[in-house]
Formats: sequence, structure tokens, C-alpha cells
Amino acid sequence: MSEGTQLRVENVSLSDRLQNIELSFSPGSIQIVIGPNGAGKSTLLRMLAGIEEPSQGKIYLGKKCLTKLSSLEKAAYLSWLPQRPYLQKDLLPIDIVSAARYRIKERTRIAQKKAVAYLESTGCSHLAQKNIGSLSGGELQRVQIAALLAQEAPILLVDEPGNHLDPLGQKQTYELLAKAVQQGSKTLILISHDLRLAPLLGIPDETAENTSTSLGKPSCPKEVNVIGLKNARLEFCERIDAPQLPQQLENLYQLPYSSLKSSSPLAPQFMLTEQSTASASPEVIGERKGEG
Amino acid sequence: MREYFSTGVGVAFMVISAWLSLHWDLQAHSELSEFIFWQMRVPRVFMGLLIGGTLSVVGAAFQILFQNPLATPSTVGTTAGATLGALASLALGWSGVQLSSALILPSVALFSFLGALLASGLVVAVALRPGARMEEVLLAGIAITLASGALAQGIHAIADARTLFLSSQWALGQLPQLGYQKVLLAVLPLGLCCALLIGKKRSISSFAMGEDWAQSIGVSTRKTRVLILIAACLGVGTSGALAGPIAFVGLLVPHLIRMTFHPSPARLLPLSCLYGASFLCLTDLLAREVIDGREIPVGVFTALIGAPLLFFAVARRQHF
Repeated sequence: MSEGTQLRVENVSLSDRLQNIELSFSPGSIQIVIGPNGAGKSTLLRMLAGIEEPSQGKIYLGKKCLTKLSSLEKAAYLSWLPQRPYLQKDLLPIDIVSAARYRIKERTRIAQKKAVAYLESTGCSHLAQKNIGSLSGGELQRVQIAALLAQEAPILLVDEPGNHLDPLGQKQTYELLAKAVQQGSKTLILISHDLRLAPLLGIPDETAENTSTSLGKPSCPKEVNVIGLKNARLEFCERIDAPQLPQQLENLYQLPYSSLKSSSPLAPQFMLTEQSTASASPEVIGERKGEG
Repeated sequence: MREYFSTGVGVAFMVISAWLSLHWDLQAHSELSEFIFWQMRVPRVFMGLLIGGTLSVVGAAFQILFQNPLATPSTVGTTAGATLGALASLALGWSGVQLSSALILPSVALFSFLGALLASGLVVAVALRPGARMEEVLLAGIAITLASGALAQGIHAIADARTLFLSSQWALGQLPQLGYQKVLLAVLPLGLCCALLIGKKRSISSFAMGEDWAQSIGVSTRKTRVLILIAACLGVGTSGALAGPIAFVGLLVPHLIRMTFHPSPARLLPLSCLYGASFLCLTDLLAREVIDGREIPVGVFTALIGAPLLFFAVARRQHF
């Protein structure tokens, strides 16, 4: 069941933050959710993670309604990486990652061993015993991706993983996600402002196709969709190679397509203004996450 | 490694403090020493360990749950409710309920337990509302603390001198001299409180990573929240009923452990229980023995020793 579970959103609304959303995510696919600030992207993800309940409509996980499942059952399918996690400064990565395995009944010692293995897989096992308050943004993101994967859920919900990171950090983050998606045949639902990073997920891009070998990408997953949200409404949901996508992106952001998708995934000068101005360090303690 | 070390030191600390507390100056009462040892010290040390452990583990759970280093049972109204109940019973001048021919449940204990129950019940009701945020629960607790405080002030204003003296004595906190029957009566709620909080340490500790995240990894956050409040109410209500509101233990012990051993949040709970038990046992020894023939309320010593310890721990803390 775990690998073939379809996530379906049926005519879902959440007060005025999301309205009449209709989506379906097939197993093993990659979904990139984009849209201007306040479009409801994070709300959609929080709802898929079961943290917020829709005020109208239903979300189905296979044949089951998401709101009817217990937290433990939900956690077996859905793993969520918040945009700005709330973490106390004196926590250790190993404790965070082993805590993420809550749904798996095992001894603390085993959980810690597994946690180290997952930290290893994201290239940060050397940070296992360091206070997270002393980590850099990129290091913290690696720890959090380790926690995301340690939950061993088939569907990953990732909220703007490249936010606050420098171009190299963004590249590494996306490559880690790509590795997880392809090796673990997981479904990835990702919020991102930057479609230029999509090739890093192993998605063939018409402009980046020739250089793909240099990134060492395995084969492309069968389905990659781009979901556009604006003003709490679903604007479009298109395959990434759909011919009408460029036009829809331009409509969505009111920006020329050339500035949204350039040949190089690492071209800081082309970054959307929103990405480059939101450069605050990851919030650690004392601040609430914003909605939207 | 760090786990074994902190647990080992804790166990040693507890054994030493219990042994000291039991045997201190015992020879001075030569002909009565056996009676004093078995009838007075053993139940008292036992209560000290149990109450100290309970208050500390509740404090640790609250600090994690509310993601607030200042959270203690006093912050969510439990202590204030217990204090108000005890004061009301003193002012009314009732003696107690006869449980059996030999066992009277003092009405101060009964009332302070009911007060704690009522205050926590109101806060639990807020916590149970769907979508309730932790800071709302904290605010509700503060509102209840303020309201109980105002009521207590009102009772103080009209009370007679004897009630005032008794209530101020009670408010300092003092480990009771109990017979075995009452010890047995207290073991159940206190033990249950510790067992619940330590048994659920994995769920509770996930709150340290934020409530939403806790929910997303599979923790039933609403259930956990209510469970912590109920366990805390049982533990703090009972210990408040027996010993009064012993100051600071629930705040100090978890912080001192955190700064000394840097445990994971899940380890903080059992460690707090272990060290809190020893801490109260030792301070009670001081309270008994520092002035010959006269007992000083233990609450004075928990604050006198604990507050400077906390102050220096904070002042010396290395920041990264």
C-alpha cells in the first residue's frame, strides 16, 4: 500500500485561504507548487500534512479520508518539512532526526543508529552532536532533510527548501531531495519559487538537457507537474513539458518567462527578487511562523 | 556515554541524599533512634523523594510542552488553585474528613487538591478546544493564577490572625510528617503522574520541535497536551495538598540538568525526576537540621539554594 498510495484533493476550501482546490497526485510523481506570496501554498501543504483540516471538501489518501486517520497513520504516509521550523537552540541533530522516527516503534538506541545513517545520507553525520543553534542555514537544512527522510513516509511535503540558502546550499538541497525521490521512489510535493532549480531534481529541461550528465542525474521520474496557485485559487496544473506552461507562468507572476526559467540552475543574477530579499537566517526560537 | 554518566551520577546522588537524610544525627536520639528512623524519617524521606521527583518532572514537561523556559505548574494555575483551596479551608476552619477510624484526610489537603483540580480543569478545557494554541493555554493559566491570587488576597483581608499565620506557613511549603497510611494514599497519584510523564517522554519531547512538526511525525498533540495537564494536576495537586506549594523545584531542576548534562528533551524527563527527588530530599534535611529543635519550611531552602545555583548557571553559560 505504501508505494501505491494516491493523494487526492477533492474540492477543498479552507476559509478564505484556499478555495475549491481540486488536485490529484499519483504515486512516484513530482509536484512543484508555485505562486506568489500569500497564494496559499504553505496552507495547502499544511493541509496535506494533516496539520490543518479543510473547512470544506475532502482529502483522500488512497481510499481513506485524511481527517479520519490518526496522527500516527498519517505520519506513515506523509512527511512534512516546514518552511521555518520552530526549534529550540540546544537540540542536537541526532535527537531531532531520531524523534522524526516517532511512528516507528523501536528502541532509542536503534532510532539513534538510524538517525546517524540518515544524517550520513545527507552528508552531515559529523554534525550529529552539535547544537543546532550553531549550525549554518545549509547545515540545518541538511539535518532537516535527514529528519524528513528518517520518517520513512512515501510522500514528502517540502515547503520552500531553498529559502534562506545561498545558491550552493540550494543546489545541494535539491540534489538531496532528488536522490531521495529517485532511490526511494517517493512522491515529492514541493513548494518552490524557482523553477530554474527543477533540473536539479532530475527533471529533463529543454535547455539543460545536454548538461544533465554533469549533474549526475539518474533517469527522470514518470510524471512532473507544475501547480500554480494565486489568491487562494488553483490557476493551473500542467506537466512540466506542456507547451502552454510558459504562458501560464508569465500570467501567474506577471513577469517575463525568461526571468523565471533560465538555462543555468545557478544563476544568482536571475533569481526572483523574492528569493534574494528573503535572506533572513532560519528562525530558531521565539518567532511564530507566518501563514501563506 | 553522556546518558550513562548523567543517570549514574543521578542515582548516586539520590542514594547519598536519602542515606544522609535517614541517618543524619540519628545517634543523638539513642533510645528512640529506631522509632525515629522507621516511623518518622523513612516515610518523610520517601515523601520528599516522591514529591521532589513529581514537581521536577512536571516542570520539565511543562517547559517542553509550552516551549517556554519559564513554564511551571505555577504558570498554568495549578499551584494558585491549590493555594486558594488550602486558604479557603483554613479560613472555614474545617478539620477534615474521616476516611476510616484511624485515617483523617485533612480538609486543607482535600481543598487544595480540589482547588488544583478546578484550576487545571479550566485550563484543560481551553487546551481541548480544537485548534487551541499553546500560548492561549498559557495565557488562560495566567488569568486563572491572577484570579485565584485576587481571591486569596480577599480571604486574607477578612481572615483572623490564626488563619493568616497558618496560611503563610502553608504557603512556604513543608514536607509533612505522615504515617504510612497517608504515604500510601499519596503514592498512587504521585507515582501515576511520574509514570505517565516519563512513559510518554517520546510524545512530550517532540513538542520541543514545535507543535505542528510534532503532529506531522505522528504525535497526537491534543491528547498529549491533555495527558500532561491531567498528570500535572494529579501530581501537583497531591503534592500541594500534602506539602504546600514548594517553590522553585519545578523550575530549577530541569534547567540545572539542561545546563549541566545537555540531555535530549526525552531524557530530560526521567533525569528531572531523579535529580528533583534528591534535591528535595537534601533541602529537607537542611530544613530539619539547620536550627536545632526547630524546623524551617523546606520551601525557604529550595529557593535559598536553588535560586543562586540557577543564577550562576545562567551567568556562566557559554553562548555559541
